[in-house]
Amino acid sequence: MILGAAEPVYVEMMAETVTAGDPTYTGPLAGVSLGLPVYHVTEPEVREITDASVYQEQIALSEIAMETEKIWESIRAVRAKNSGST
Amino acid sequence: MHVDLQGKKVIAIGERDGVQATAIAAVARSAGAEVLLELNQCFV
Amino acid sequence: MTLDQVGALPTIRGVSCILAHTPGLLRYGSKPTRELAKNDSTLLPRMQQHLRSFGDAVAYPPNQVFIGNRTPESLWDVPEPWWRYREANANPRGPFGQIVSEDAFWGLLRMSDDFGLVDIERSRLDRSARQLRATELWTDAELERVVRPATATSSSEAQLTLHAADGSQVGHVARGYPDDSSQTADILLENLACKASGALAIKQLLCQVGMAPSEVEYLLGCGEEAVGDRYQRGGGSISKAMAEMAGCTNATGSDVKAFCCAPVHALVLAGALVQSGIYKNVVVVGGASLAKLGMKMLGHLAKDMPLLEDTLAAVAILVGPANRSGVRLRLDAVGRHTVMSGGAAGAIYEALVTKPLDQLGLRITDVDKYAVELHNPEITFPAGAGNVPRTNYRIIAGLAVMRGEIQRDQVEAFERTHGMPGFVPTQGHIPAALPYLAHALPRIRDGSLRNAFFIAKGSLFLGKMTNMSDGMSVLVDRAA
Repeated sequence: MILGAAEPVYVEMMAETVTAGDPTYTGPLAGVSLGLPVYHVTEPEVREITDASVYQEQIALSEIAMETEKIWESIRAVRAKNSGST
Repeated sequence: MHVDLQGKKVIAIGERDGVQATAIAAVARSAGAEVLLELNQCFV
Repeated sequence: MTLDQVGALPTIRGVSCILAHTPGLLRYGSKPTRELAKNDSTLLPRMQQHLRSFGDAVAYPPNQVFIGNRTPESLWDVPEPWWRYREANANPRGPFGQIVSEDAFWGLLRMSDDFGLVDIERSRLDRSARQLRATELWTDAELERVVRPATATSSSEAQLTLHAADGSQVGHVARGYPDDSSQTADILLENLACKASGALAIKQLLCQVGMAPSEVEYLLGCGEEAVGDRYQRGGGSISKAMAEMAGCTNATGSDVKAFCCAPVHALVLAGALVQSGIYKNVVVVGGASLAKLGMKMLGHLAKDMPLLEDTLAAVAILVGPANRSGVRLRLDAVGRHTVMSGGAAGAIYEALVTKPLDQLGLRITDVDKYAVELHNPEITFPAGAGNVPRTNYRIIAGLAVMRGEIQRDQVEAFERTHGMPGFVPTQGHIPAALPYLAHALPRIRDGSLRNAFFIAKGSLFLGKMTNMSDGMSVLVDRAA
């Protein structure tokens, strides 16, 4: 799963939802652990395997606008916490 | 960590004011993935 | 209109912005309705404990900005959280409009109801009529409509019970045709709330510009409510219903539908109708969105904050012919997100910002103020939805970096120099840029602002017909 949201808190919640299960217990994935590997589209791991011109055209501007460091920190924390399940 | 999307199936969840799903899908396809689903969210 | 004015750029003649503080109606928003249906008996009492009084809603600094008693920029200096900061001697009336209480809004709902669907206790309606009379916007004949008895009846299962903020019962809303899923009581309540608030915004607008309602020729509605029945869900023209309620006897109208992007589409179309000479005075009106009340309430409850989405908002704009010193709508350079623009932010913002500015020979930094989706961040942030205007300003600034107009380290400052904090309640299409037009109009007239650029985006993908979003933008400035 690849996410594109701009808000770090939301990215973290979404990533948690599709790996360990909905942390807010409000949606259908409450208590359901899908264990999907999840990345944010701006992360270096995604960028390095993406065609450079595609990245420039599709993502570059959004990347300038986003607080990418915070987003990466949030989603890495979720992956680290759930690494057993992926 | 190294990620390899070659031949992998990807779900793209975009946001109107962040990166939209079609842009995520273009990225994933350029990395060799098959995009199963493109969905966008709007928080307002 | 003389022939030489045909083809000249139309002008913005006035903008009204009204709020209705409706904490009792909050529970009928989409999110509260779904949450309350889960039968958690503790939820409703918790919601009620977190409702604001009318005084608190009036003293809320962003609401004071909305009706024009404060500038948007003044919010930079208000300590956060804004809801703790009560404006001293806050006035429910401002230069752009007013904040009406729920008591007054019950009367407006009743006034908007031509089919006797909304039954509200008489004592409340008498109080409503007195409050509405004090606003000096409504005629005696219009006020008489407030106290008419309701006539429609529904079975108790089909009707919706209305409650005041304190939980006491206020009345009922009947459904429309039986077995018509497009006319259930909750849908009719949404539509009537949109009609009533839109008509109030029109009345307020005409009062401000000193125009008789009979002089309005056409209205474009830009709200998101689906007015219709089972055979034509979303059939539309709530604008004509609003026109009738506001006394615009010589007008007709239609609705522009494009999610949150509709207000800017409608403004451009209104300008085109005037520029072409078809009509002289066209009103763009966006009624309130009852469905969005309490949308982020779970976030607010979790943070022990007041439920800030307790307020309906509506906007009306008068577009008129060219005028030597008027504030022009630059129809010669409208930005539009075409199908080909796709979903990449770069292509979208090129279509919405750089292309129209290039046409006008302007750089990004030549625009004094950008109005984007002006959602109040204090409402969205606690629910994990971020700061929507800030994200938009960073993208415009990023575009300026890519064009070499500013340095990358100036991106943060762009929001302060060319933008503003969000101040509009999360009422769907209402925060979509145009409330700032009310602030820009007097400033462009007095020369303290050269121009302002309005950008709206619409989440078309929510309707499951396309994965695309939409966008439209337009510049306003002063005739040389």
